[in-house]
Amino acid sequence: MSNGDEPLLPLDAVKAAEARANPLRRLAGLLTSQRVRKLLRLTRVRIVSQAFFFSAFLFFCWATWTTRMEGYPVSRILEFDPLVMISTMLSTGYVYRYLGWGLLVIALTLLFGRVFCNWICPYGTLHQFIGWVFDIYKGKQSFERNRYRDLYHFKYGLLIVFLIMSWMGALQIGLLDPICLMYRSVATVFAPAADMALSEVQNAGVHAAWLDNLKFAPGVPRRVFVGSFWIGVLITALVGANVVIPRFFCRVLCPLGALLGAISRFSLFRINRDVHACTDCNLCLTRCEGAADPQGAVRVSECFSCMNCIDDCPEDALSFSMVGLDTKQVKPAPELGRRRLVFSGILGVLAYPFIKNHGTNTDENFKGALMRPPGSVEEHEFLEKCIKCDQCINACPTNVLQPATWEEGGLESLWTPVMNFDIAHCQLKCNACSEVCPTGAIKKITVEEKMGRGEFEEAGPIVLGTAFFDRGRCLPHAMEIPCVVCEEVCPTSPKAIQTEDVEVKDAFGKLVVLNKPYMVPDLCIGCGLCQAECPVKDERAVYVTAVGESRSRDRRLLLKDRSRES
Amino acid sequence: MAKKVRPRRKNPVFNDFGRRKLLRKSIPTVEIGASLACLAFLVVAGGWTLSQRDNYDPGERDLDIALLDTEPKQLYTRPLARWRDPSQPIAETRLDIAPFPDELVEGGWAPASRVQTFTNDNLYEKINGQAEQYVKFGFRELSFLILEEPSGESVDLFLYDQARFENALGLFAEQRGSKPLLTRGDLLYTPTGIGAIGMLGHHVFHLIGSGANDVVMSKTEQVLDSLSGLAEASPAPAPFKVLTQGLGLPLDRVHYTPINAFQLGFAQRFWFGRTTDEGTSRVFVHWAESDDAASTMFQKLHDAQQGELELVTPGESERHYRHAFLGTHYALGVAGPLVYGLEDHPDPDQAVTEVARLKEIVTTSELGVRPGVPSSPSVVPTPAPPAPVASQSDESEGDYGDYGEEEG
Amino acid sequence: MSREPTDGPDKPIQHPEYEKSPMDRRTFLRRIASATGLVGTTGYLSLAPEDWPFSLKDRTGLRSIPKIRPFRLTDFQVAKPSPSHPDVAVGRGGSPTEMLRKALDTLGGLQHYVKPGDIVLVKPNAAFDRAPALGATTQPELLEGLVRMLLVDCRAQEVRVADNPIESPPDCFEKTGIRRAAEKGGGRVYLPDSNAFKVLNTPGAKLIENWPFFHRPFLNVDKVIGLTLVKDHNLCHASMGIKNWYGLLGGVRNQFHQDINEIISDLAIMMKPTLTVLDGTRILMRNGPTGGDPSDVAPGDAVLAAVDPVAQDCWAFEHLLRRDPNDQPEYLAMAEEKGSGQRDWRGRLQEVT
Repeated sequence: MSNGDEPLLPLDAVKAAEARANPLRRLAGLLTSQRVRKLLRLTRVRIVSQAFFFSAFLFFCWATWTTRMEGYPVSRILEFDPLVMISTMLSTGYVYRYLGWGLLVIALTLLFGRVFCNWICPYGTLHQFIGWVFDIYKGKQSFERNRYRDLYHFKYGLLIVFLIMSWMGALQIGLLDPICLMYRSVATVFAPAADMALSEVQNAGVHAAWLDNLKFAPGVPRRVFVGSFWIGVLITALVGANVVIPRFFCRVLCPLGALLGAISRFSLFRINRDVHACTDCNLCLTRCEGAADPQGAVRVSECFSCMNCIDDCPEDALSFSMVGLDTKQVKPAPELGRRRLVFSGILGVLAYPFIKNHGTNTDENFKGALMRPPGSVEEHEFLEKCIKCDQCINACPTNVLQPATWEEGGLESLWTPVMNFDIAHCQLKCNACSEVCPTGAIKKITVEEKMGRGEFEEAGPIVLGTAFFDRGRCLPHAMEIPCVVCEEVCPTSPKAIQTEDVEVKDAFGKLVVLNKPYMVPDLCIGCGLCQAECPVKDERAVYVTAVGESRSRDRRLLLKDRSRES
Repeated sequence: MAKKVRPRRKNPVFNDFGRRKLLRKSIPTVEIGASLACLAFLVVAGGWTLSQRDNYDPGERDLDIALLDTEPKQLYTRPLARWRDPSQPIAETRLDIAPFPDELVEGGWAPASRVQTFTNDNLYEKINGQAEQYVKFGFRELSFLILEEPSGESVDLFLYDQARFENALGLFAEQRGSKPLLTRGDLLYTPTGIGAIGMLGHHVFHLIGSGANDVVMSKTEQVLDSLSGLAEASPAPAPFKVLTQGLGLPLDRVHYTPINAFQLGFAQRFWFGRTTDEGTSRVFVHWAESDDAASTMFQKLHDAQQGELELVTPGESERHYRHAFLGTHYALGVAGPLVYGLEDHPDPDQAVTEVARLKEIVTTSELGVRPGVPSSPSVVPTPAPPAPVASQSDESEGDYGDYGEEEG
Repeated sequence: MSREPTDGPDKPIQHPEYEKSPMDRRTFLRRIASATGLVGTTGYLSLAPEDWPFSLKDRTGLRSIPKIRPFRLTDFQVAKPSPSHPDVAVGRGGSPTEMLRKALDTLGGLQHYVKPGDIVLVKPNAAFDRAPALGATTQPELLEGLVRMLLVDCRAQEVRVADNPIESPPDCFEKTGIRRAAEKGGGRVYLPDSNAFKVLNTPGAKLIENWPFFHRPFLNVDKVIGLTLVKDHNLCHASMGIKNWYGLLGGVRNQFHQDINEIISDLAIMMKPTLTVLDGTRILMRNGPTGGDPSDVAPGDAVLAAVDPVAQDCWAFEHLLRRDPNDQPEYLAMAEEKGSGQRDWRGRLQEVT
């Protein structure tokens, strides 16, 4: 406001004087006053919008918890991600539940270009914010950094690779889709870190109830996420790259941005430069988020519609307006030559067999550790649907859901949810993960369906796996020491873990009654509570593996359920 | 960028967060309008999000207690296994020897192993070569057990499930040959040198001892006793009882014809009993599915005999005939589900008496007329020829002969 | 930048613009002083004997082993109004809350035990994620009634409700209805975070002399009331008033199944509650302690309140669980031996209808 005294509109003062007479006019006057106008310009509203969606995102992450969820649309930001919609539609042929919301963003893009990137996307907001905080560049340096570089076509190639893979049946967009990446990082890295910090405050002696309310996961033991270090490394590296190239991720890698960029070539509105007013001062580049060359032929597909250039133009030569896409004045399409297009296509086609024949989670070489949350569809179908957003992991109240590491299922399953019963168990009457899954990899189920009651009596309960005893490690079996925690906690009725009561003389000649546990596989639902509670803490004496899971016919264990025979 | 708000640090880490100068000169009213529209949209979006709080079905996240109220599954609870000194012999191990009665393991006799069972698929493993005979008579299952005694003697028990009483009877008759036939309750048997063979209901059994001595024979007696004392697992069918118990015919004069009785295709499942040791005179009894079926059978038989027989005494439920050439007496009657009669009797007066006696038994005694609800599946008449018998029907029609008939 | 060429290896390389800057005395002394100070301080801290002040020396490695400073629970018991009052009271007839009120009145009234301004901790059994009707967890109705009595009748300052369930804590508190009941009554629920535990010292206890204990809700607590129900238990036959305190333990408590009777009798001396309330309106007769089938639950008509939990459990085992008193769980005898009560309830129990 150093030179704010200089009125932008000459009639302003007169109008203001008139307005004072009438309250309605006063409001109108207020709206037309210089200060308010400055406040209400698009760049300011953009920040409000970004703050709104970023807080909505954080709120949704916070509300993704068993006691808070209620009816909040906690996965809605994923559900209006059009890349999720399009890629799952390619891989499965259908549009699940709320994924049609993606059309909203597509429609928005067709109207205003990539507004999603700079007005809505929480990851874009994070990048912009971090970029701004560490932006020390002034003068020429600052706008040289925002010139278009050839590197920025890379995202389109990546998008083509991802889309071809999806179409063939290997959905990998979740690795880099900004919304998935953001949800995943919050769920497995930032949420536990924040909870850790709040716990330290509590340890320091502050016991106020609101501290618990702030936590992402209140009232449970500390949550750990196997392999989340690498998720943290990835997001930190990507966000940190802002220091080198502003909005590195958005400009170079973001497949969603590429998709929206490809669509935005048809957009109604775009940044328009009045070449007669323009003095070629390049000031519009100072804060150009997308590196869209507003100083020359505007690259519509790169422009984030952040409106910064309009603010920065001393000649008012730039405007966001509904004008044609004359190729002499603008470059509407992404800069991706035919060669690169073909290369990406070849890569995409190659990537599919590479990934599929890696053979870590196919029926030919199925690993017992690859246990999916309740309601999950059959593994092949699961991999066509899971976008690795890890919302289920965030929702899980027991911490049993873990991002899969390379070991469980290779790249294809990387960061998809698996159950680790060494850490915790699957809560019997909980369907939180299925409620939040945006793509139906975990089909929405009710508790009734999970437990196989009521109208699901015929289908029986959802079975996640089958428990087995390692009798060489089990205290009563191997060492004549009473235990049976597993039987005590077994939640089915009747219990799937039964005991055989034997009186023996132990090594010290003492007569003890041992309740030696054994499995009734027909009743076991694979909830893992026995494994989680087994006192043999490292290699558990009772453990669950995926065989017998009800989502797959191929991995069935029992020919028939003896408990259902009359 | 000419003026700087603050002097720049030499080695900055952060943005100097200085206020940025707005370079544009005008802000059009359209932009203000668009901004206000955006803000309004955000407010609506926020409001909508918060309003979704109650938009869910709590019933989906919990289970209605009423749904748990199903019939509880019962599991077998294993009894506490008491401490046993491993150096002591197994004294009281009791093997489950069903279907044999538990009382067989008494007096020092103990099963040598668990009961072994054989079915059609593996019967030849046990009795290679003889299996054919059993299969022919509708064999279903063999239970085999060896009982041992401390002195070293043993008795092998074979229990063949032949599915139907008639099959068992036919098989037993074939195996017995001309050896004497004894009864013990419902049990029919004939002793052999080292045991016995016999039948009970639809079972045929063989007892084969380890030698011809008192130990074995007394065990055989005990086995026969306990078998005969078994509950009526598979009682004899009513016609059989009428002939044996009612008329008191000795067993070797009773036989059964599953199909083609009197060389008539429709006449199935007839029981015959020869009234005298010599001669061809026979009484017969047939148990139809229902009263109506019996009446139909009665009428069909009447119609079929028209050529050779002359009606002597007409009647609604009983008719007497005389053979046109031989002059022998024939009779045919129906009572409830039973069709009975007599054929080829040389003496008309005596024949009338015999038919009257038969009728009396059939209509008044407990053995006859109203067998009521069939007491066992093996005696339920089925419209088609009985399955186990039918299975070998393609071999030769002739084999259907009277299973109970004695050759010599 | 450029150097003058040198004549030979012997000649020192000297920059032509080199100027000698001699150190003055001040600087010299200052440097010497700071060097001495630094070396002296670090030398003292690291080399001085262990008992000297500020010494950091750890000659044996024992000093650096973290010291656990266990805390102790106070005795929350309150003497009966008069010796003639019974130790155990059984209320019968009416709603569970009415039965509870009858039982408490027989003991001398709740107001005698809880004074205005007290902070009271109520320990329900919320171990499993089960509907209340399945008889595996405390009835919410009764909890709400008790919390209300404490806040309204006794004017307690604060009522806390805390348990460390076996299954997921938020789900257990939610789906048993205990959170809602506690908050409806005006209490505050404490859930077990990983850092809500502190080591508790219980003198005389064999297995849990020093053991992690759900400490946070016990800060400044004046009175403790156990509120649980009567259940069958697979290992120790019956889970009643004393076994309820198991839900305050942390650590690897699943080891305790190796000697279940010892641990329960230890619990009896670990916790000396003001009152123990036993709900005998839904009794889990078999398939315990989880239950899960409505047919496992038998309806009952009694709510017990006691100042002697041992006598109370004995009576409940015989009359509510309807078991042969000769099969009484071993831990009751052990608890009596450890001095936390007497098993023989005859003459010390009063039933009111």
